Amino acid sequence: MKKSQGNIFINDNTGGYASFIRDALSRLAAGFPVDGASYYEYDSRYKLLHLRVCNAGGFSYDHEDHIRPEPGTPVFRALEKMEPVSATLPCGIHLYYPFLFECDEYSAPRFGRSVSVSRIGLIRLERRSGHNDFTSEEIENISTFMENHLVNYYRYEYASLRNTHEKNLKAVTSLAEVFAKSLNKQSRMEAADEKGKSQKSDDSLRAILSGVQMHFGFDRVRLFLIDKNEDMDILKGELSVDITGKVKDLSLEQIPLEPGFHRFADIILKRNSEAFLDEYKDCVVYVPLVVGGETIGLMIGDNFTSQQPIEKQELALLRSLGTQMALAVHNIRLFKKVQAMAKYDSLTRLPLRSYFDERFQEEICRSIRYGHKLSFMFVDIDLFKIINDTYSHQTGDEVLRAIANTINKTIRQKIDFPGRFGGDEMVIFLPQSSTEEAKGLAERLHRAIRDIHIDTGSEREIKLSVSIGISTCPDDAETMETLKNNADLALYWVKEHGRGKTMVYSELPPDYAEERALHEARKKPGER
Amino acid sequence: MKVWLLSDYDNRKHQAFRGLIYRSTSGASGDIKIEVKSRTNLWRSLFAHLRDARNNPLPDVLELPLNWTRRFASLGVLADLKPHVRYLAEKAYLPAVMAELCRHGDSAIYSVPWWQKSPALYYREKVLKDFCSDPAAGLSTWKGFRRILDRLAETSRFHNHRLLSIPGSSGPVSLGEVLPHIWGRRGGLYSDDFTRATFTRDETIGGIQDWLDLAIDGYVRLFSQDRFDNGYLPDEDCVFMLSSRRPSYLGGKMKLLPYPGCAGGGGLLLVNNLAVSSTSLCQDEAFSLVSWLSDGLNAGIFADYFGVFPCCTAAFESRISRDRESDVLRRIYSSPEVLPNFSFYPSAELLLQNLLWKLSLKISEGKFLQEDLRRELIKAQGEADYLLTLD
Repeated sequence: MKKSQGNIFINDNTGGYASFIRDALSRLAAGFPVDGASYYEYDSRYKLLHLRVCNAGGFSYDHEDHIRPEPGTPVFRALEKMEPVSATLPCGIHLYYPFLFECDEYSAPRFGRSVSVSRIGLIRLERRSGHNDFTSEEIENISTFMENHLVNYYRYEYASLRNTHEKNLKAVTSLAEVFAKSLNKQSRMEAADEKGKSQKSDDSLRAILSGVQMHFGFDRVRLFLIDKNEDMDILKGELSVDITGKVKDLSLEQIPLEPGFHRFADIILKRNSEAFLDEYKDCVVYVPLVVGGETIGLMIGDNFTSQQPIEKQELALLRSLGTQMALAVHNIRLFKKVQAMAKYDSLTRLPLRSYFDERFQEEICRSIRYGHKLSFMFVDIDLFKIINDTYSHQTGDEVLRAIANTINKTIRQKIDFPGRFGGDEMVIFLPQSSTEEAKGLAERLHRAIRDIHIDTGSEREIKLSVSIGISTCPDDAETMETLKNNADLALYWVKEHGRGKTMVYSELPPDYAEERALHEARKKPGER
Repeated sequence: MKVWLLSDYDNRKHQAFRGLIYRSTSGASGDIKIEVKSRTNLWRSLFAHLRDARNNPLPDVLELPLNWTRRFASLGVLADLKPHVRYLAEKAYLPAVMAELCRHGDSAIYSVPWWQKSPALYYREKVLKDFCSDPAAGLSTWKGFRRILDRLAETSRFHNHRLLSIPGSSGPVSLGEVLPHIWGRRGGLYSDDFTRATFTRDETIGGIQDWLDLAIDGYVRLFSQDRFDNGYLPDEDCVFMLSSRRPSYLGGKMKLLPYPGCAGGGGLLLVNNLAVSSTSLCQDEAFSLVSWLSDGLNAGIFADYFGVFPCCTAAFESRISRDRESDVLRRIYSSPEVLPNFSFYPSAELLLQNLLWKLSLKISEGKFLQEDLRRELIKAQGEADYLLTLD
């Protein structure tokens, strides 16, 4: 009879808990005269023994079976008393060795709670019928072996818990760094790269979500933020990151914050941040993001694909990180808003000159590089000063808004790019558009603007119209300033010839540019 | 080289595999480490790798159910075998198998069909002769099968055999037991166009209910300690056996019929494939091993050992034609249906598995109510519908 094998400590990087058990069973089966060995875990809640690993013929392999031990049976007695029990059964001789592993030593004061692990296991050693029963000496030797094994088992579990603790600390540290970086970048509004472009706030959101996905191992993490509108608050999708690291734009997902409309809305409206644990259900967790008592959004981690339940320990960690996350996301949003204010006109919500010029220049370079046409349009509201003076500035603002909205609705979405150059002047650049195509858009704009009705509060009706001047790259010019000047010239022609129509630079009379230049030169300084 | 093999309900399969590897003369064996994983562990291990690749490396070669291929190919876990596995393009398989593997029209093939099985009914002719004059007709439907089972249960004339054996039964009502039955009823987890889940369709509910009734009526003992105390009884020591294996040791003791409800074919075909991981550092050797294993001759030897069939048509035909009940086997394997190879499908199977677990616990504790099944299926269907939106 072989004695116990001594320490069989397995480095916890050899393949996990299952590998450790397999190896232990192999050594047990090799060290004692048995025909087989099996490892079970006992679920005291449902009183079930779950077979996990078998060893036969010196080879360990996964096996699944689920048994409810019946009262009075040898295995039931072994589990009840937590003592080895030997039994002679029709199929052979069994020795059941139950063991209890408990570890309260691992405490995580940072999270305000200690983590305990409790596991009941059972080793079953098997001999075929006809062989000798397990003698008391054998049982004692096996017990000694198992006690040694359990020492290593404790070490393994402790190492595993320590690794989990370190992993969680690392998650807290790394994620806190990600959050802090996001805060720092937004507060300094730094220009990150050599071209002078600022770090996009979306990159920071992406970093936050990717960090959460990576550290918690969710199949998917999604971020929704509350967008407050005059009519109704909306929960708008931002980004999602999946287990492969793929980032997806969720901006098309918009959920009205109305009770009963959607699960997410109910969570935002009916629950506070303290109650997110109540929403825990197997493989999805909802983390409301709260700043200063106000919920600004919702982060959702799910394991729908793998159907793997989320560990309760993960919830505690998420909860503690939730506040930092919320603050970081909040600051990113503030930065986005400030950026938007710098880029967009508050009245018409059209891009302002500096942002328009930036995008226009990019597009000119692109069109020259790839040999595409690019058209530019000046859109001037006819007699705007008179409207402003006759009615009110409020009516004037309404006119500007209405025309800006009409432009936004008429242009090609996400392709054509409008802007406001101040006063009553608006501009549009149209990528991959010829002069003819630009003229077509201009015509549609004229028709749409003619149909605008403005409530002046009186019986008098304002008939709106615009004058449009067009130039096209590369036909009319290849630089931004020249394209603008040429379109401006065409616009002047329209203004001089009755307004309310379109002119393209290339169709201007040959001497018009020269005449215009002379006319400008003769003007007194105050008239220009 | 490391190989992950899926476990089976006894150790015949992995013994056969180890024997095959040791006998290998192809030079593809080299130093091969085999790890046998349960289906649950394989699934968890693959996702553990995705979460933390460094500490959860993949093997070089892995066995997986055919209908997991799309899921793990889309997650970047599997390597394209088409350029590397010998004769893959030329090998013939049952049309239903390749149709499912190449369902999405990809130019790549991420796993190779290896072995297949289809559930069938075995019966002991001697015992049955007093209860059913024409077993082929009487046992062609589930209703007919239950009628005869119930009549037998009222007597004690089993000649010391168990009434019903379900080899591989592991405690709860399992997905593997229920799916063939759902298929027999023409039910399924999703509609034919895969736009909505059909967990609450009558055929699906009926299929699951039929199997639960076996447990409720005591023909199947859930979480029974019998196996624990008495070991696995010989599969064939029974009057009826529902099994996907075709073991040679049965001899003439039990006769074979198609699964009740699939008398004319169209039954469920369960296929297991071989794949090479995308992270394998010895991919050339891995491709060679997969080629060798999936070759008709080797796959045939392997499959024969534990009573299943190789996927290669030539080897499959050869095996069937040697069988004394080849005509019944041909009916069983005619127009088979393979589990759909969609990325969301394995997750939906898990939903059903979790549901069956919950219901099994209730039945075993005597707390099961009829409305429990429909209620759980309604919940699961909502989640299964949501799975369709994930990709």
